Amino acid sequence: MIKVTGLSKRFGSVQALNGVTFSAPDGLITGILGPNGAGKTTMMRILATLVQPDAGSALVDGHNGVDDPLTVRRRFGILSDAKGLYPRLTARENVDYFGALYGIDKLHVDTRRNALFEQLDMTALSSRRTEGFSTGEKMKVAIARALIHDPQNVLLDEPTNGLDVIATRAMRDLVRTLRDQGKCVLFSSHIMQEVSALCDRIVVLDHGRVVAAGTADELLAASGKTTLEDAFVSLLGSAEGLAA
Amino acid sequence: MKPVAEGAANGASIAGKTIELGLARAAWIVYAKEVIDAVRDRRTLILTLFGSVISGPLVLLLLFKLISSEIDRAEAIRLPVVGAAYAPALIAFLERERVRIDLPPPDFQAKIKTGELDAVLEIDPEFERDVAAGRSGKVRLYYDESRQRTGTTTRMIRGLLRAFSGLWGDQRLALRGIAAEVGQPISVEAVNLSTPQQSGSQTLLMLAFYAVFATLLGGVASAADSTAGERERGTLAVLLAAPVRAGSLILGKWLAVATLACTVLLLTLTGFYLTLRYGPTPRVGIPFVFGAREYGGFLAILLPLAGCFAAVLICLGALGRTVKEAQTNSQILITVAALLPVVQMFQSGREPSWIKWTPVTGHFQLLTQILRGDGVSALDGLASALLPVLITIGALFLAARNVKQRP
Repeated sequence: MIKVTGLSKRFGSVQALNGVTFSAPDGLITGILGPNGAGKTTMMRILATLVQPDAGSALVDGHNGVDDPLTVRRRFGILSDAKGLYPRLTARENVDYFGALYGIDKLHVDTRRNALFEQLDMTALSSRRTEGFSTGEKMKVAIARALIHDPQNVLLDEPTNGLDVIATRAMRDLVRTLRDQGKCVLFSSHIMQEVSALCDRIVVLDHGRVVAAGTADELLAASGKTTLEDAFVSLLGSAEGLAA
Repeated sequence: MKPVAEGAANGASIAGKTIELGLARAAWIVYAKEVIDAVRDRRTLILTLFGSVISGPLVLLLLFKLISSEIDRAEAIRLPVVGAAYAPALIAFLERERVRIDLPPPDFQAKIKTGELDAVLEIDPEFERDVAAGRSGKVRLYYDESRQRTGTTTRMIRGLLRAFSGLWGDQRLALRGIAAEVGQPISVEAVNLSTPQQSGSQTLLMLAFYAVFATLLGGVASAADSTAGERERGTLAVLLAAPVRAGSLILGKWLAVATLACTVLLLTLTGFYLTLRYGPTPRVGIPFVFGAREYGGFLAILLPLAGCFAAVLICLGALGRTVKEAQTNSQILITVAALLPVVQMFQSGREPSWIKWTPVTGHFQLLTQILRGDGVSALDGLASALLPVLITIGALFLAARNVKQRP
């Protein structure tokens, strides 16, 4: 469960976030939709305790990232669009490294990693170095790495960037599975179709502010439009930066 | 990807199995990963090994070969002489001193310029007559000063000519009933106080250079890769989102870089040790000593410096957004470390006593002392370690802060 209240962050003269308030309950996929520069990544970084907010709070299962960052980090699994891996380590070593850093003993890391690789159809590649992996294969390793500690909250920051159609579908399936397990899934994207197809609740961000929040039906009602695309354009005032 | 809906809830659940790691445990995990990562970077590893471990002994062997060939050159001087018939006594003297007298080719000046000939002696046709009349007999020595390799031959010939001149002068004075000492108001007796090891240490100074560089070069690539490389690959943010403090990350990375630097240093010193123990050393009558005592001394002096270099490299690397940027930053340290001993060599007069406190210059001074067999006091050793230890702590602190602030 994520609860964000009055979150603000300024970088120099740029007000990246300006009093953002929303909550993402367990067992739901909460989409953060906004054009490029809306503040999505800054918010994700604050939630991941990589950046400290100027004001407001972000509670993860009741823990504040500013006061207790290590506890918050243990409750998060993060998958960003960078999907950076260590090319000279094997897929297994990449995942195990993070398992160890999360303080999980080797036996449990083995069990968990094998199960994740099995599910992600990566067992055959597990002993290969990740240099030369396709984008889809890299994404699978990054997923296994993000989920190795079985986090209750999962942050997905533009996770389908650069993925082909098959990999994107697989990613969507995975996100739904996580939701069905009762996880709190926060999914950030600037692609309105992706957010509308996948998310149970949508938070629309623009210029660092929440301009609308609710289910797809609630957003349609609030905007007075008949399609989600028209609703988003109406809420944002422009379709600029929202990929079709 | 298999249909995830059928999957066993994303693998076996291990909720609640995570524990908070202590600083040392987390640093150890990072250290183990960094070492594996660095060792698998074969290309960098080979370049580093060649850069210091192999090239050091190789340069030493080349230096020894040069010294040996200079000795051979001095032992078998060939001297083409124009007009040898005008000074038979001088020619006989030179031949007694094992100089082989040749006939010069007609274009000998051109051949000296191209380096085919070291030097040619031309004897004036009036030489014998001038000498008989009590005047100076004229000889002309042709050589090319810009050619360093001919220096030994030229010096030897000039020395022999001076010796012959002195001998003849003494005989002239003796014929006039005057003691030879009259013409030599000052008699210089040179007393060389250096030990044989100290004489040899001058040649071995390059060992100190290479050893200092080994401690630096051993860590350059891995420091850049494990800091800016993480940022460039996008793994740094993921790493910082794990429940590990930036201090643990930097500590683990520093230990890995320092380990690599110390390994390269050990290999470099072993290379020198083996080269001097089993390699061909020139027959110059002085020992070139780099035994177990010198090996241990070098190691003790350079280990704190290796740690310091590794920390500064990590700090400079953490400032970079890409590996290229980090390597450019590292160049600052490499340049300073390369320049300091050179500046020190050109310093005239006695070195100030505070120099032993300064990194690189102080270390270079102590290494020179070890090579001379003078020994280093424990206090001087500690003095040379103090500043590197403080710099290490400062650099690691800055690196951790930078990494935390700019994931």
